[in-house]
Amino acid sequence: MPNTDDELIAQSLDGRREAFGELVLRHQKMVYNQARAVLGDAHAAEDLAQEAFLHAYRALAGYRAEGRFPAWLRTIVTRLCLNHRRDTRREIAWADLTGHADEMADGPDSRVGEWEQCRQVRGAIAALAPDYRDVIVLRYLEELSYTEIARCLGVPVSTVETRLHRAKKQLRLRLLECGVQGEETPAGAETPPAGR
Amino acid sequence: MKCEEWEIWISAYHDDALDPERLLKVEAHLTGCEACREYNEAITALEPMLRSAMVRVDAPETLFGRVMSQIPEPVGASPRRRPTLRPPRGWLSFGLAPVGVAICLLMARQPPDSRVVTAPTVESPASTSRPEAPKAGGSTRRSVKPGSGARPSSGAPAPGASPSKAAPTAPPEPRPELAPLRRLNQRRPRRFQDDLAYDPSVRRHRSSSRRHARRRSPLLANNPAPRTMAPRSAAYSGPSAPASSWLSVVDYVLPRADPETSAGEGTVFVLPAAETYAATPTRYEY
Repeated sequence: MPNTDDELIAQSLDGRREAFGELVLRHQKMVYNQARAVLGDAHAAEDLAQEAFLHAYRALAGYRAEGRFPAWLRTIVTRLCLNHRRDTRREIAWADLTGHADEMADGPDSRVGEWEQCRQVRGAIAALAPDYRDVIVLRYLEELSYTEIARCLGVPVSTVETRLHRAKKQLRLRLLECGVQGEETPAGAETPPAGR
Repeated sequence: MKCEEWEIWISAYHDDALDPERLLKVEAHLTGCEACREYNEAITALEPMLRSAMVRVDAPETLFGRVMSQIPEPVGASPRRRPTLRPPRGWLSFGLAPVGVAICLLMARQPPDSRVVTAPTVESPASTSRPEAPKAGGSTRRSVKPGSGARPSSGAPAPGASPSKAAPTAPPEPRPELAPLRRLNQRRPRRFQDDLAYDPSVRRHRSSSRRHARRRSPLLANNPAPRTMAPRSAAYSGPSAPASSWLSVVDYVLPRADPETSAGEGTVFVLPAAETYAATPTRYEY
């Protein structure tokens, strides 16, 4: 029976490296994708993911959020992304994020069209302000609730609502300029119910 | 409420982040506002694109190796939870505070071993009426009064005084070691009052303000017969001055009060410890 995160943390504190290695294997995908979506650079995301895990290892003794290790780790990644962005202050190239284009190059044309649309959407996300990009990534990549996003960023929930609204508005305008219309709601269709 | 505010609620409505009360209000508003309905449809079309663009990829294979290479091997003791120094709670927080204050006061009162004071070699005869126990490392007050033969003699140690420790015979004056430094900042009247050689019958400066004091100082005064003193660069010998004999430093740095010219002026020199002369320039307080 696989151990829970808290059990692995306790084993790591007892000096078992393999327990922390198990934690890394469980959460490295989440950490890497979040860093990659925020920073827009695969190499920087890998470096930041490594740094995030080392930070988490050093701070394991102070881990108090029992049962919320992913959220705790996500907070570390967010803080490191903010620091990295503040230190580097460079434009996001988003060049490496299109690496999977090779997979779709040989596929049907519809997939190429989807890939092109995704590329434009990601470009629009990259053009957002850092604060707006953070909330978009945490909402649509990590699929966090407003309360979790607010806790992760250290801002009120109302701030998260406002930032998400403005981010979506800017994305919508930018995609309209690029000619990306998205899926149109069929005439007569009901409004989707509140929920995911 | 304006449409801008409704749009914020509509965006949260799509993310299932509204409480039941606001949810009912948004649904009711959507039925009556065309602009908000269009915005709602635009958000509905945007969200699938955002989710599809957020593609999750696998982490690089080298990431695990890079992380584990930085994790040190456990050597002996395990990295257990480090004891955090939390402040005491409850009655302990009150119980330890006076203990800490008492320890600080005791440390402040203890004379440092490095400080050596040649005790009351400059005690003037008039000052012996109020005996003072010179403290090792502390400062010693020296008062120069007219007509009192106040020029100190350099070779008259106080009876029972030793250069390495305070005079045991003299009654210990309950003055902390830092008191002389504090006196530098005090106003002149208070210094005169606390001065061991203070004699109320002696005429002193009427004005206690620093501005008037500076006028009378030998450095800045416009008196026709200014006191001459050795230039500080020559007199201030610095670290080479013998720390054990603070009197020599006094003779070089401070002007000798001439009873004839300084009639009615009681000058109080507050001297810090000898080694501080080497570290800091001399300060004159009048």
